Amino acid sequence: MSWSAGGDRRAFDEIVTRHGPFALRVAARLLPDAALAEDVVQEALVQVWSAARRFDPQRGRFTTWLYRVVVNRCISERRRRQPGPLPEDFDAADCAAGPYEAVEVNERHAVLAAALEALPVHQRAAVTLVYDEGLSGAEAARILGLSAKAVERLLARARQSLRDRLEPERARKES
Amino acid sequence: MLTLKRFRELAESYGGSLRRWPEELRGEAQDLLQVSADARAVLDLARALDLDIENAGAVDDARRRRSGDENTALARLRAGVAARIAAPLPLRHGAGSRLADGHRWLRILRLPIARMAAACACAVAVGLVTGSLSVSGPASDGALTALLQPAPLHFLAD
Repeated sequence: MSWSAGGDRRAFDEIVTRHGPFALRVAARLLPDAALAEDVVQEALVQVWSAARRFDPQRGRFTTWLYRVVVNRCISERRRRQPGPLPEDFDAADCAAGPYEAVEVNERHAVLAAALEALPVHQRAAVTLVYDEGLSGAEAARILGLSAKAVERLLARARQSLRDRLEPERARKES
Repeated sequence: MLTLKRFRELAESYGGSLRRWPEELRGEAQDLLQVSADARAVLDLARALDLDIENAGAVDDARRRRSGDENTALARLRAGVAARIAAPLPLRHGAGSRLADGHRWLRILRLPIARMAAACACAVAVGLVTGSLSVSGPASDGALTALLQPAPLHFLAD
């Protein structure tokens, strides 16, 4: 990191290689399409490069700071946009399953995706960091700039919303 | 000791897998699970939703893998960032803020071609000033006439 702050582009490329996949995954979950997610991550990383000299290691870990820049950019971008339609290949059939199973699985996936898409962006970000990326609540809190308690509440509200959206589907399937 | 109420709150946030729970509470949660059937029921209920969320994540990941561009996206990102940071950084506010705010046109001096042009202009200016200083005064009419006369071609006389 100190190399990078000193303007070493090769060192920064190492940082991009190491942390880019996380940033791209998180951005892809928070934003409606992959191209936009790539653009936002690129902007965030350039911002990190420009501000690297101002990073103070006494105040926290570099990765937390980097992830915070990425997640904040995604949240801002998501707020500026209305959610878009699902991608065309979203419900492509799974050839390994039979036709009836494939339809059922795809319906469920569609409900899940719509339920996650409908979450407010901070709830979605908390779910992504804790459930998809396996970070602890405390780590997610540092990235989101919130208290651990606030993240706990975001997760609880997100799970309640998902349950409300998924329950009718589950009941329909069982009946 | 963790109460069942607090246990339920934690399960409603972090789900049915204790590995997601705050580290400092996992031991107490484990203790409660051993003695409370209610606590075990709470976790079982939470696990069903965990599975849904995990499936949704798996669908996202599978879609990205199907489009085959995880590595390509990273390569594009690296190339894009490298190109962007190779370009000169914008002037920062602070020490250089006066230049950034009041004299934005001076930013052109950061371009190599502009620097060369500025150097040439300076050289011409220095030449003009030096030349004007070396002329002591206006030439007399006689001197001017002599200067304008064609020089004799001595080799023709030989």
